[in-house]
Amino acid sequence: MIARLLERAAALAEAADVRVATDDTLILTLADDAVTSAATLAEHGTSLRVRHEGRVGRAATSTRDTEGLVERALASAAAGEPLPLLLPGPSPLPPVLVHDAAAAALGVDALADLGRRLASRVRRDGRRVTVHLERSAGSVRIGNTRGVDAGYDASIVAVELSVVRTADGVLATRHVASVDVPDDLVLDALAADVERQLEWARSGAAAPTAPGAVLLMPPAVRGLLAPVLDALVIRGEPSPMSPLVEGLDEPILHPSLTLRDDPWLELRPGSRAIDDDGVTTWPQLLIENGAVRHCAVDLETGAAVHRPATGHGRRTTFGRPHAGFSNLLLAPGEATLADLLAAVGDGLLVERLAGVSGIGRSGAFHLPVALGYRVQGGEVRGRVEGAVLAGNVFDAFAAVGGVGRERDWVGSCFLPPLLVDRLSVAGD
Amino acid sequence: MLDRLLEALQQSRADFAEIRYERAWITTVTWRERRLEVATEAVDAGGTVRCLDQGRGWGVASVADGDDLAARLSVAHELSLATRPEVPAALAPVPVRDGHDAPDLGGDVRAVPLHEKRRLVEALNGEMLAFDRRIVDTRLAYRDVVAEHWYANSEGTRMHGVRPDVQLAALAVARDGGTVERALASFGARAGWLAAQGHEERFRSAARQAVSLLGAQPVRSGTYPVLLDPRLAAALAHEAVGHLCEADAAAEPGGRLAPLGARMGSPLVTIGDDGSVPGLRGTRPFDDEGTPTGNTLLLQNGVTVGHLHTRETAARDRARPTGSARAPSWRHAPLARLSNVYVANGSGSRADLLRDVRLGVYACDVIDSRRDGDRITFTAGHAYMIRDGELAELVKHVVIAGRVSDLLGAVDRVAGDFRWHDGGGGCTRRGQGPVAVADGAPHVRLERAEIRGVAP
Repeated sequence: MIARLLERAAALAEAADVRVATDDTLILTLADDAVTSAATLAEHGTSLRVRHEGRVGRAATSTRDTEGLVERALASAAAGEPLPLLLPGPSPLPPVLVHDAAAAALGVDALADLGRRLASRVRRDGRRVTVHLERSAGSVRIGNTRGVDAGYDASIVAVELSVVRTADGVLATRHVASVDVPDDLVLDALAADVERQLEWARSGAAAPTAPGAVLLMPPAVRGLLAPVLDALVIRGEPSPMSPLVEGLDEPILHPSLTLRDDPWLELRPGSRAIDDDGVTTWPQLLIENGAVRHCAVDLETGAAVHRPATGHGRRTTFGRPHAGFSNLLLAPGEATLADLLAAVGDGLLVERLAGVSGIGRSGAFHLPVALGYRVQGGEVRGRVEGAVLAGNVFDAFAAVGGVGRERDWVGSCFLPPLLVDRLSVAGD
Repeated sequence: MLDRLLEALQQSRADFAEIRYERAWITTVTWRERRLEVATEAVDAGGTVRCLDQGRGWGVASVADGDDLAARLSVAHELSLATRPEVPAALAPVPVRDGHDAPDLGGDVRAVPLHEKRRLVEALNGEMLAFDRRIVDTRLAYRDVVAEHWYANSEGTRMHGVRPDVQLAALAVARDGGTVERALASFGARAGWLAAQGHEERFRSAARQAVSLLGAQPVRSGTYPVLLDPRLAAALAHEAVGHLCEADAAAEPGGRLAPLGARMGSPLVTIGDDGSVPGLRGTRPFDDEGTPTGNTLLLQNGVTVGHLHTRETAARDRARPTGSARAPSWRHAPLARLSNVYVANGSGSRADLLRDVRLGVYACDVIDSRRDGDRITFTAGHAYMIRDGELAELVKHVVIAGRVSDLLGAVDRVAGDFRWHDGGGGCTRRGQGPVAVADGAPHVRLERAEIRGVAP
């Protein structure tokens, strides 16, 4: 189908590329060991981009019938802006494994069994255990009129464990995703993390009343990282809201922070050898000792601002092409969790923040703490309810007082806990 | 298409089976500053089949264009048989219907060329850019959808209709030295191309607002009497009450459903959801299970009196299905969702509610709202101080925070100036994309509420 579309587009336009993605997802929910709902979603999407008379246009469809797609893309180009878009040519791809046959073949029974094995690790009287499982098997193929014809198969197994302690309503939750089927070690770690959350929330405690040190666990770090990552994506002119400038010698964030983007990690869902623009990927240092070293640029933005694409192109079937990251790795420090807790003194430990999607590009935030604990004398004293964390992400990441040595995956980010020396906390 | 659906359903061996199919034509045009980002058209088509056997849970399978419907029904039936929930799903009865929904498309957007839509967006964006030299960044997004949908189930209900939607949404960013401020504006309608015309002043106002905020002082944090404009009062109803009354909310880990009979707010507060108000974005004659929509009172004089139900939650709670089963697209199974949420009218004008406030805050518009459990936070687009019963200086960075019960309990006046908001956007839930909603309210006064001055 790609060859046919490209042939037709080439006859009418100067250049074209096509991305075809398929996905077959099986979704199960288990409540206290029983499968309560089961669903399967199969998708097929084709997006076509053309350059015609120096202008770029796009069209997409979720149908297998691509009749009219080229004409719609040409109409889009006619309405579009002049853009010197140069599509990439073919190049050798690195071997990046993002497909596991056993994971892709997981059926209802095997997926439910995985969920039950996980649930059995945390099942106790007085708890409601929910496991949400998704198995995805799909493929991406990219072709263009310069000869790129590449693609890959991909599989993902995602597991979310949620435990509600009925006596006090505390919700502990954790999510993992991998290319292959999670083994017992992964399930043990997931269960242990949820147990730790429940244990720390065994009693209640008052929120600190004055600004002070805050220890952010990896899920909270991921939430606050969003505006930093946003600032590392070139969209055209620099946003007046963003304090980050690429290539500064002076650190903007704390010198203990080093962030890499690695699309070549084996068996990680974020990995890929080729991006959705047809550009070969490579690992890149984004922030080194607090200073920005590289930013992400997709092909169209690169053409607009005269910069080379960085292999970060992302395209969903209907979405606009943009730049996005693969696997983000924040370098670990030396501190153990006990070291970090001792350094907090009297303060707050934040497990999860609510509403992180609303943090704007300026980095200012004012967010409810979905799960957090009071720390006193280097020990967790109990769960804090109703606390609100406020400040600015860039200020917070410039005031890092310690970096943990143990990292956890949160989505496609591998993150340590971070101690922030001073943040504003408001309680009830 | 309906005949195809009915023919496939006759082959299903499930106790209950349904097929929902949709074909949508979508146009997106986005302008940023002086540059067009997107002008594209797309076709999205597909469906979802659901099966339910007695004593089991739902089995769900998607249907791609050209799929064998009977085969997909068979897959969904097998998935239903694989479930063994402790409390099996059941369906409340609804009358069998043969429905047709053909609203006036108000200028079918499919007949309007892409370059004409581009011209509209460029002109509106230009209005913002030209307003003041301090406008340094703008974004204006246009999106139209015409979705033709078909539904049939094994009980005999069948429906066919067309759902139009048109939206404009803008961001204006103003800068003066190191001070940067932003303002939002949007429009949305269950209509077509004609409805998208004549909104120049709406988007000029966004630019004017962003520039005005440059010279405003941040509000001083504290506890004040707070007057909410209709937009903010409606957002409070949506977030604080609406989502707590979606009957399947408690099915989510950590989810909460407001218990019937519980007092949630002041006796002055009455809140409802009405999916049948003509012309609003959340309006449909039938929901995605074939149940007619209507008006559901959620909070009456401060006490919870109703929930929004799907057929499944209605059977569980021995309640009446409220026509609230809604799905954002064919990719999703329907959940109990809000449609058009409202705060019922009181009496008096804005001036009446201002008159006896010595020092307070008049909070207008909403640029962000979020709820975590029973705590809720709103960021106002802008606000004015109230001094001696009169509106005084413009202030900014106004965040209203508190427990739902405290905020609703603090309502001491509700004005009689109700209006529906015709903004764009939508409501997301449980990882599902946005469904089109509307909200409306009169001015509402809180005797006291916590205000935090926080830069956005």
